Amino acid sequence: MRIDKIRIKNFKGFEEEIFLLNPHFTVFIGDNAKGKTSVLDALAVAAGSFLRGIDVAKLESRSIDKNEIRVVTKDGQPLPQIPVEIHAFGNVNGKDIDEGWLRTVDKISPKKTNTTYVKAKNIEKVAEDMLKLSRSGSNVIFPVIAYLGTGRLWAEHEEKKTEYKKTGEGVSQAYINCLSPKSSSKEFLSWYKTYEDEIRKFDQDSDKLLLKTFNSTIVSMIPDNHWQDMAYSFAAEDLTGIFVTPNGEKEKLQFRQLSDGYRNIIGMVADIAYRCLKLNPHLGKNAVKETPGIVLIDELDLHLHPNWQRRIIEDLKNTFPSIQFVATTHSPFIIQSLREDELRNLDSKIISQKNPKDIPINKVITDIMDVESIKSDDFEKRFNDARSELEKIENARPDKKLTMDDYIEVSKLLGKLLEEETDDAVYKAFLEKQKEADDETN
Amino acid sequence: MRPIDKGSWPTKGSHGVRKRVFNDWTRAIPFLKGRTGRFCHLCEMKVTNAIAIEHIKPKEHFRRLQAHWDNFLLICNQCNSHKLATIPISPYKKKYYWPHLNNTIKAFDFKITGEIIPNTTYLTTQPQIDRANATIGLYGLDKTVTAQGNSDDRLLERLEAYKQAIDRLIEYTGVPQLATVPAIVANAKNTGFFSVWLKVFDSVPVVKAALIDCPDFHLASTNSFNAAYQLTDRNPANAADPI
Repeated sequence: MRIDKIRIKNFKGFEEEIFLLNPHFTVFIGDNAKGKTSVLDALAVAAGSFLRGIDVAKLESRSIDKNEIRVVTKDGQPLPQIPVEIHAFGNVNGKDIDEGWLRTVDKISPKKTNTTYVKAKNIEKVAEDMLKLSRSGSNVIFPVIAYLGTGRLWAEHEEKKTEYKKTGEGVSQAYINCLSPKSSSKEFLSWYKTYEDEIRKFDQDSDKLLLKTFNSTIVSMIPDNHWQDMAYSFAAEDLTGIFVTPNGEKEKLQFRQLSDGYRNIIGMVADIAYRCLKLNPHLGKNAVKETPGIVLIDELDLHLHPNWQRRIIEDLKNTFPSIQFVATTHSPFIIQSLREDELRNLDSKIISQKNPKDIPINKVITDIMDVESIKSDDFEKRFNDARSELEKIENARPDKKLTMDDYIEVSKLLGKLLEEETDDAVYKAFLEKQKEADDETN
Repeated sequence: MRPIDKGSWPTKGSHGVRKRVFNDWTRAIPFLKGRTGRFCHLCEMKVTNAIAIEHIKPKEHFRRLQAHWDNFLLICNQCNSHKLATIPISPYKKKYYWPHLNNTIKAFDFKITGEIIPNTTYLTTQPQIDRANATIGLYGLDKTVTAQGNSDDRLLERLEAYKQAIDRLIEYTGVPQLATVPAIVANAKNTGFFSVWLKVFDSVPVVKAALIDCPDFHLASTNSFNAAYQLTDRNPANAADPI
């Protein structure tokens, strides 16, 4: 499942906007209150339309809430604007849905706001057919759908005991709370506890494989090979990581003892991986790598150190290569780690031509995030100085024909100007080397 | 400015008789890229994914032309953001120089200072110079610094192209000869700014010919060069301004 394009009308702050999404990773940036989370909410409505076709998860689909209708204030009174429309275009189960699927609110009634689904029947039908095939014994690959909102820090204030989990149809469990902006940490915890217990008692190879996949997925997300393995501790009623200190000693740490940053990432990855394994256990050890789907993440940088912010996107891409991610952020480090077509700026339509990867961090802040107070370097003065030197050379040749000596001089002047300004580290190093060589010959 | 040939309106169907519909004009991008190369039609900057369709006559004011092939150019975000709300003065074909209609290499000079000015070697009358200046103004081609005091991306990229072209010239003419013709052409494709490379290598016929013949610059069908690789006029019937 993939959404390529979404049109949002009269939804929260949006009058009417169209956004194109990258098939792998899209990051929305913008000032507070510019609508970053609203885009994710709209995508949740669109992605949730699929769940209407999954009978056991039907209630997990998300409708448009009454207070999400755009309101225009005129003469002091709020005027709700209808119709609200969320129109998504994309690909489900390998087939393009060219006409898209559309969810709307057409009328306002005092009691209940009804979100229509008649124009989203096409995607509902695809889901129904997939479910039918799956129940008749075929291996159907279901898409993971998840919305990780800012409330996702799992186990915070949760003192509840982790229950054993009864097994059930994958789709009925994998979509639980998938679109509520809180991830359901207890779900994967219960599953993990039950599963590990089962393996201990019955020792089934296929079960072992899935648990191993889950473990390695999570361990792989922790930088610098800090974590070696993990297991459920019945004594502590919590997941426990096997941790290696810099001295090479093994240490056990419960996940609830971890920092917010670690718990954020582990909670997020565990949630997605759990859903993948539940949906498509027939994929075995490839269940995490090959499960498609859409995952929405609000404030990807939550509690992360800049070093981790820099690599989180690559890590997610490598861990879940078939999933389409849409995220929001305020972090220049995350922006800098993006490729050219992965950034959407809600503050301005003008996107820099350059790959954000090649832009120095101070320029990410001034040019892309539009923060003015950062002292921008005085390009104008340096440019004007270089220009007068260059003009001198040019004006000395009335026939406009520069000699080779002129060119050597021009090359040096341009090199000096560009060295200060260039964004390409390799090119910069090259220019520096060239300058050194010039200085030596002089 | 590199002249281009967009060709006729793309067609579909087995006999190629029905015009393609461009209600979603971004669908014209692959056709323009395929026929004219991956460079901004106005500033010549190399563009990859972040590219837009320029509606010569703005689609907000000329709804009929929003899906019209003749109204399209390939444009980078910098040039596009300078145009935004500006409506070209009518008749736009006479008031400005256009890369798909004129031999725009004759119209503009790329100075080593990075500036773009009317090319007075070929523009001899005041109306011609006004016409070139109008084009520069319409897309802000002469911008050097942004409002925040940072460099205009196009200027910086142009200066980088200049630096690389000059370095290749120095290497090519030096003893021993360090740069080869194919390497120079590959470098030019990589930086964009064909006009800059053409100007720097104007006195080296072998390289000049290789640049003009390079298929990635799509110059063959623009009628902008003769067999001797000299600049020619694209509108010889127009006595007042044949460029």
